[in-house]
Amino acid sequence: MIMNLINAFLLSLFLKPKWLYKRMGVDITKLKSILTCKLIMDDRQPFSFGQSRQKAANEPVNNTTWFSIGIYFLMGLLFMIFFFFGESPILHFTSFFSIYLVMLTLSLIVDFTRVLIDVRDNYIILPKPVNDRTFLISRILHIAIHMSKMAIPLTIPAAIVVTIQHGPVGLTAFLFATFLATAFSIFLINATYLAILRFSNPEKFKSIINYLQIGFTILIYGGYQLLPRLIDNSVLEKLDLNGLPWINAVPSYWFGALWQMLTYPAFNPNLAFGTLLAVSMPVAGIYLVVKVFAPAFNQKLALITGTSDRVPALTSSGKKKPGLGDKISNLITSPGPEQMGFDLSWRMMLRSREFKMQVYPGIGYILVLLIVFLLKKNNFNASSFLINNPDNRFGILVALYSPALLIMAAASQVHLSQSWKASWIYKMSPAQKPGQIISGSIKAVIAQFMILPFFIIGISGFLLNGVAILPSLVLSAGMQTLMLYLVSLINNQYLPFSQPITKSGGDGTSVANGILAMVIIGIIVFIHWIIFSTSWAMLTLAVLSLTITFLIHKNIINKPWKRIVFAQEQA
Amino acid sequence: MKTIQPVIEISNLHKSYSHNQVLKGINLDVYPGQIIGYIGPNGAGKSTTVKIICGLLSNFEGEVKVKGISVKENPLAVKKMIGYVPELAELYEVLTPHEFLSFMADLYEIPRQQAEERFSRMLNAFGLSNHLHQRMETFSKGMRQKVLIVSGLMHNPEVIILDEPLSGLDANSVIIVKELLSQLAAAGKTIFYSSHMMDVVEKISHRIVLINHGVIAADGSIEELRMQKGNLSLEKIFANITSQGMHSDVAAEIMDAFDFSTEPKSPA
Repeated sequence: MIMNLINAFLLSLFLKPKWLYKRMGVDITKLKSILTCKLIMDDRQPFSFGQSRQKAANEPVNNTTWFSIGIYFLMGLLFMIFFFFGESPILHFTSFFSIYLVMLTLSLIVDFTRVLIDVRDNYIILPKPVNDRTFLISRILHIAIHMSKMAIPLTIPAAIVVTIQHGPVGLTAFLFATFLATAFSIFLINATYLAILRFSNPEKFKSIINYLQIGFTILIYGGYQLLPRLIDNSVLEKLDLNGLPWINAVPSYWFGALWQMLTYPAFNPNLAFGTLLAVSMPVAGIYLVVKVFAPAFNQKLALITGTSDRVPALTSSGKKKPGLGDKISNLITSPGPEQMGFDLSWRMMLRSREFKMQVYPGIGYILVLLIVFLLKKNNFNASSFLINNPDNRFGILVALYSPALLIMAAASQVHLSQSWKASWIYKMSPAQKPGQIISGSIKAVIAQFMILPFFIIGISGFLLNGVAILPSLVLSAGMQTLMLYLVSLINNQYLPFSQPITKSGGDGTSVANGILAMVIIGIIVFIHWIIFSTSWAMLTLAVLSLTITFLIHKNIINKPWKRIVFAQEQA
Repeated sequence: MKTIQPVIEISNLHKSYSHNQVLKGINLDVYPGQIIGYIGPNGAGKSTTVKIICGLLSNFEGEVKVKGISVKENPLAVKKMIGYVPELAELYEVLTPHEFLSFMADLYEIPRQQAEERFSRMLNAFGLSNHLHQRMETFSKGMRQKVLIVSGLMHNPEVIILDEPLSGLDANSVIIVKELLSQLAAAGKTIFYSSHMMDVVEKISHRIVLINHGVIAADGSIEELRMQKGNLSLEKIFANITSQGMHSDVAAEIMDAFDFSTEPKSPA
């Protein structure tokens, strides 16, 4: 078995204290064998947060170790910025440890069930003659190696800056504080897991992990966009963390305080208390993990992926109350295939994890973009969206067209699914025109991704500007509906959720599609900008866009079976 | 003459999960060269028994011995003698068969070279020799099952425990595995075969053990069961014991769901 260079190095490093393991009753040969196997597998698992890598369903994944180290190293480079915020070292270290703890904890929460604690071990390793100690140590070392692969690339850039700014003493103190922070994050992960498991069932658990992944991608994107802009923020420069009364409620401050105490000893009650917590909390946390959490933990984890024979039946039998989706579908679709397409897509978009993973981060990106935009304006307030000042024109357009990327992302994903094989059901159905199913699913995208944003944008626009905003609002809604139908027209040979998620739909193509979408949005916003003060032109263009939309709709809804493409199963 | 020592001895085995008692006193002696068909409805306690014999569950009441060694006291020694083929084709599919089986060989302490020789020949016999270095992600369920069977037999175990081993296999592979099991039994191996496929169990088992609600409801060769329960197929005997003949009522209920009065008449 051939291993990745980094894995091989870390493995030999962690296997160095052989005498210690032997004294604990560990079978070294088997330990090495289990870890080798696990590390090879890690290298072939898709990266935890790699959206685009997840798409490659048919192609084997390779070299995840190098890929993830690269990503974490880039993140580490970004974190160097913290050491240039203002003058106060305690601020530098507190902000670094904040992001470090968040990164490490979030990644490990996702990796724990996916990579580190594999329930298949129960069937594969446990029936073999391997003693409990060997198995336990193999898990602990696996987690340790996995964490090293994140922690080391994350801290190397910061360590270099710290050495330059504070010399070797500062570096040693930094490494010590980082080590304790890492231990503390293990405690946080275990506590989070137990808390989630206590209050939810395995299916919900997987959804929570899914949302954490989405949150994480937004966080990376947001950090990348926002951090460099905060660097010369005058508020941060004057901030005195040590003087804040409740600062010790923030765990990352403890590790900053510890560093300060070790490098530039000085007495301050907050600082002293923080240092104490930095040392005692990780120790107490690890003690809790080993003595209290671990036994309950394994048992609970078995539930997560374990297939239970007895699925508890829902207590309420009989008819279900119609939900929001049912009400909207009664309103805007015609009964039969179109309504079926709507109902199916409405539910699949809300429940399918891979759809949410692809589309929901877009919501976060929009918020981040808006924040970035607002940060640029120094004295920003609600009057920045008043229509009578020509300077505000661009801001208004950004707000009006902010849902566009999200809508286009949803429209380009709605025909993809991991369970695409279930699309046999369409082939069996006696529907005359499959186009009606596609039309229903487009309407579901409108209902889920356009109605609410436009409601919010419309209401706030009216409150600020009254009727004057109406032509722009109508035009932007018309244009975005047209964009949605254009994207759907590109994919209109596919029924909803009927195509496998393959490489061809991801990576380079998706980036290209994203750029294309941006260009189209840009052109439309530019046109809107030109005719911004001419109401009749905007209304005419709105009518035109809706007419084209209607024609596309007619084309899609009349699509016959012979123009529908189904995915072929590979032999 | 010395009496033959049983290979598996289960006496007064009880096991419960929190409030739910799954096994309520199982007593069973299994002799070498026997193929035991272990059957029962879902939730009857089949896989719990299998897990206990394999040493996967330790907090049970009663005594379970394999070749005279207590599973409770020395699970490792027992695990060495057992080959276990789990259901659901549970394996690490990002590995290749070569990697996976080498790893299994390490855990059984078989020297690498000997292991490689053995599993290559076995996979070759199963027609998988061209897939030795291909990741199992792309394998069909039947191919994965073949790899698992090889991993269960590779260390030449005394006792072979199989959980639904034929699932996903094509007709020819089913014949091969059935023949393999008879030859293993003839060579003195003990085979514990847990399955839902009554016709297979009926044909290959020397002895059939039926458990229902955590107790043994029937035990004997198919001939003995027929003498006791009437001259029926195993499927019928199973149904009589476990469901008290409700099947035709259920079918009638399903048919009643069609409301024949309102249903448009299909053209004759």
